[in-house]
Amino acid sequence: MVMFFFRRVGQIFVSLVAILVITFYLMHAAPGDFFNIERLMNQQVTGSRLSQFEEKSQTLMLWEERYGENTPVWKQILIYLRHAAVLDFGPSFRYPDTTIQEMMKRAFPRTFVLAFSPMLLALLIGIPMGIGAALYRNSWIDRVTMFVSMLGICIPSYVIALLVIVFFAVTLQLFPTSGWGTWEYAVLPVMAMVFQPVAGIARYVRVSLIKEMGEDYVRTVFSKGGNRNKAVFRHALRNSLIPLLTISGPQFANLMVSTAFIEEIFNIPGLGKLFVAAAGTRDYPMIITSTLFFGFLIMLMNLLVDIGYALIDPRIRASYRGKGG
Amino acid sequence: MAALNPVGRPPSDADESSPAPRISYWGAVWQRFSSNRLAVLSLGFVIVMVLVAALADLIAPYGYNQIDLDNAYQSPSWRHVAGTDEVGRDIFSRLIFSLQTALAVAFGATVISVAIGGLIGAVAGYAGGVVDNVLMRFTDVMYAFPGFLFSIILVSVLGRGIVTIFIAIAATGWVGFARLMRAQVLSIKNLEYVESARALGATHPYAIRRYILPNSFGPLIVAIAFMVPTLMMTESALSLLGLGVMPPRPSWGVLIQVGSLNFRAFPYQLTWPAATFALALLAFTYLGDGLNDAFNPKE
Amino acid sequence: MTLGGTDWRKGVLLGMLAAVLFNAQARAGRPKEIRYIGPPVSTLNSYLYTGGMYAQITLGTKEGLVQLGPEKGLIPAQCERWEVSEDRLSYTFFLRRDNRWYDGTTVTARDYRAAFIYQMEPGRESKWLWDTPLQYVVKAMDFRNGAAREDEVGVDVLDEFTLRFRLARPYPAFLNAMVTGSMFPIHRGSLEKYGDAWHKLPNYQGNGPYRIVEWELNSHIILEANPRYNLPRGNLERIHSRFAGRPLEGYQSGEIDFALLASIADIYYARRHPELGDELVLTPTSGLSYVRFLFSEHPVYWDARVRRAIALGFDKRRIVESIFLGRETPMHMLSTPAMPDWDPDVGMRFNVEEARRLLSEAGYPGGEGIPESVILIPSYLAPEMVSQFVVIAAMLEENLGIRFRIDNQELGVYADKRVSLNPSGYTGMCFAASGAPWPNPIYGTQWIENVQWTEDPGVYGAWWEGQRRILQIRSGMTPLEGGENLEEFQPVHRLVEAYADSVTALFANGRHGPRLRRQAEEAMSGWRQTADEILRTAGEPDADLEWCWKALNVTLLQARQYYFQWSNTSDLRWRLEEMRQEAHYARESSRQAEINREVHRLVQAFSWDFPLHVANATALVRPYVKGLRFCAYWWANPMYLKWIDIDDDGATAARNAVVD
Repeated sequence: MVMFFFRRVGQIFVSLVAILVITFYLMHAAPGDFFNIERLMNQQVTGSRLSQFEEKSQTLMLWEERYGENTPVWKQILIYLRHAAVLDFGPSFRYPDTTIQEMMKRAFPRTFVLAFSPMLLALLIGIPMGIGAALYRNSWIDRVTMFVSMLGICIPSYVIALLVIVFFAVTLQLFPTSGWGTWEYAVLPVMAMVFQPVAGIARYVRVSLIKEMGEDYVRTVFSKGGNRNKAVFRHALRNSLIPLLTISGPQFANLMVSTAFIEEIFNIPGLGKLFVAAAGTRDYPMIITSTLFFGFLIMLMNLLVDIGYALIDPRIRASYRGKGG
Repeated sequence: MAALNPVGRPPSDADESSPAPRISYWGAVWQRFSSNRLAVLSLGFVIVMVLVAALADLIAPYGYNQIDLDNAYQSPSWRHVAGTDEVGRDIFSRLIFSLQTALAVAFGATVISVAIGGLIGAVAGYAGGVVDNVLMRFTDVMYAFPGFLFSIILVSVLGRGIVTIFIAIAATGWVGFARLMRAQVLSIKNLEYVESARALGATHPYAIRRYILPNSFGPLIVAIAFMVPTLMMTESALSLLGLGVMPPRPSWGVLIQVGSLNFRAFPYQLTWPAATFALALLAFTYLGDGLNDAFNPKE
Repeated sequence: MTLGGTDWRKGVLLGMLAAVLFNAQARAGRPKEIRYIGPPVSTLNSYLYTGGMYAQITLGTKEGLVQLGPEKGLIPAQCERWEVSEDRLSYTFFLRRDNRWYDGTTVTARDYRAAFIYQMEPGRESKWLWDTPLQYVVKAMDFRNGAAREDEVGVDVLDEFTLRFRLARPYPAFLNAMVTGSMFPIHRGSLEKYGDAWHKLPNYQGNGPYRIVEWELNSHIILEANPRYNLPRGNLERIHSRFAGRPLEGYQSGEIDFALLASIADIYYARRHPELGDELVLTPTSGLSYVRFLFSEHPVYWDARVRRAIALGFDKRRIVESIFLGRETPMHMLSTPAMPDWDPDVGMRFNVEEARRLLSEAGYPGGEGIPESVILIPSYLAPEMVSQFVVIAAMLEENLGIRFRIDNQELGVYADKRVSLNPSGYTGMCFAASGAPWPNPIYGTQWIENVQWTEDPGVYGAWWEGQRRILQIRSGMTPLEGGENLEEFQPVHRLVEAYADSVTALFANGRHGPRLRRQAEEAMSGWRQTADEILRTAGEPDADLEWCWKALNVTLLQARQYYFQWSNTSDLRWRLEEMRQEAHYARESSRQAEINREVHRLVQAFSWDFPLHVANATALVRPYVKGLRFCAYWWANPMYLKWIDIDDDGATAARNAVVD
């Protein structure tokens, strides 16, 4: 198990380096550059222009200070890795005053809360919904549950966000339309995000529970005259919830990514706000770090899922031992 | 969903005997499928969508770029059932034409994704060991792949076109299929009848062709049914990268986005595109459910 | 993290109740506060930003010698009076003695000088330098370029409270330019103590009406009244600006006190709403949308007649009226009604006959021979902005027979295509927009020309054409046609060499760094070689003279583009500036109008741009907000918050915003 853990961590590291290499090369190959874009936007929005005096801005100098002038890309990658090893990502082009790690330290908890609460809520709501639908299959409970959860999948979350703002903030004036601070501010964004995971989890639980209930061992319990509820909850549910882990991990990572536009709509100073414009404005330091961060997050979730799996299911633990040993 | 159900179809007698009973396998699938009324209804809806897209020129009451400045921002009426947009174009007609690109993109990109993902997943699962490990780490990397930059580069190298859109989507879209395929192959390759066939001297390609592929069809078709509708929306995100359809051609996703922007004053701009999209998504999902039940009959 | 578990335990219902109470309380006991959605603030270093951010922070926390008064016009701010010398080369300001920094120290003339020197220091990134009046101060630019000492710069501290500027040449807008952020003082103490961290929050020192209490990146900023402030102002105690959100919904839910509506749908909704309709204020701004022709190797749009034909060939009034529902006003000249050179009689109005005539004259009757062209737009544009180009394309095809397709590109790609020389298969025009930065009384739309002359290569062609026209008039040459005999090649070849020499000289002083210098040298030697090559080829017996002529001209354009990208001078520009100064100092208004008309005639004759429409700021303003001042100049609009009064019981007159 320990060996397995270290192997996986090693693999994650190698994968991260691969992501880094891809990102660096793509970044340098993509047309457009930060200064052209900034210059254009400045002049578009404000009528200003960066003049001939700005041919070499301080921001660019910060980059060159770090990476040197005309450094080949592979060397830039090594330099980046050396700094990243001590969690030093340096300043970004757009926010030259502060470092990326500094900004992320402030922004991460917000995005985490924003992604974690819908996930938690989705589990709390979705699992009972799925169980109900599976137990009373093809009854009105099933149909209503599935229809509601289908709605969650069908409506894009920016449309839901708009509807909840108009209804809860404008019509009822219960919650603020935007911003971040006390818990009231989190209600509407979470509401906008919760539908999709609820739908996913409810549907998943329903399908896998129905499948488990068809398995021989559950039928055996039935045939022995066992209590139906007991059979379902003690045996079938437990087995069908284990694989739920597998979808919860990626779903959480997905939620982290999809907070980006929710943060924009609700003006929440989270990670998405930092990262989302990075690629569009060719903010190199931010592009690299954000790609790497989300890559890391997804792989971390996968690792946690695997470990959780191993802890719950002895068969899998045994198979890891075989592989890792 | 099917990816999480790694237990394959148990070997039926049909697989071992003459081709005639195999038709009855598909027949059985169809029978199970057709008993699900919702799924059949959904299939009908999907077929109607395809037909509407194909015959858009005949069906649409107006052209997609038929500008009428005197009738801009019109609420729904008998002349324009879904109202008109800011330059007086008929939203209903634009919706019909937007189906063309949406469906083309969704199906095209899915086919490429399935081809790449299926191949990689099958190879990884079948070969196992180092090959499996390397390929799976590669799919891990592709999860974090900077698709935004890649799409921008792609459009500047290949130029704009529907093929470019396919490639841009397939570049990351194959990952899910690869995982699915790998899981399928893993679960099937160790089943006794495959192992015994191998012991009897069946070659790798034969084993793959004869046992692995047919057994993976079911989950794959289900996964495709679920992937198609999500891809119909991806096209609208690509238009931000200069990759999607160019104005004045309509795009379903952009219609919904614009509708949600203008929702307060012109709610009808949102209702039709969003409602039809929800219906399409429902149809594909129920279709996927129906296929799932049809291919995995164990209950 | 404030999202604690205790709150959740209250239960949803209790929570909702609390939310209602919370809102009610907030409304009852509020300070005299204004809340709105303002431009995002990404740094507090005022020398790193211009535009809306400047208006929000710098105008709130710092104050210079001159300000825009509550009525139109300049009034003294932190100075008692100023004197201008007879020759307009020397400005002396007598400072107020009671202006204090946050920490209580007095603001002196040395603080002003320190700010100017800080910005002009070689290598310092200062976003104001492109338009600072310091450009006209004796030796200031030389100091920046490392060619003069600090004490040679023509800003003299005569005593603690007397400051004198010596100008190298007269600059009529000097006083107006004093309202910009480059002319505000800096606290020398914190600069010495904290170095580059002088603008970080606890260190930040200002002398203006407000102080920063809270700033959160990507979220909001809060200002509060500065008790040490010494001049009259409104009764506003607190300013809360958030950086994003939905303005209409924020206003309706009572979270913000004024909302600038950008979306046409929102404006339409507010206008038809029974209550909101009365709180709607509409005022013209200088936010001009225009179209710029792309710089391409394809020569079709090098011909000013073709460009003019397109500018005249579609009915923008009709487009604007039906699409924008009043948010925009159609424009026919590259200026706005707020500008001194505004003249409704001048302009490029819809005129199909004239457009068709120009096309035939240029050799493209009925649009024949013009390739399918593009309209390049960035992908972030709002839907109605995109649709307007769809309509323009349709109208141009119908009226002139020229086919345009929309090219909707991601911002970075758009930026690249807009500023570079495109291959001959890619020609057409692109969307552009700009706003007048500050109330420059004489320059009118010079801001667009500024952009043209220093940013976009497309315009160098216009300049070049202007030059050719002037040469033509002097020497009887014909424009653009030419190259029939070898003698005509020589002057162009010499021009290429002259530009290459100029660029080399420009980069020789070392302030550009080795990388850029090397790039420039490589480019220049490349163009020199190409020009020589072409000249040699053209000298051969069966040379394709037409091709050679075109190639040589393209080389010239490229060299010229490079030169103007890095230099700041062009003869036509100075000529126009002279004309505008003349207009400014002219006593009779008829003479002024005459000169202005001449300027616009010149600009339009060669212009690579034509105007589309100018934006009207549409805002919802609460009745208790008095004196919110809408300024036609983009940056200050509508952020002059200093004059606002919050009148708690005065829900009387709704339209109480002052409109310039």
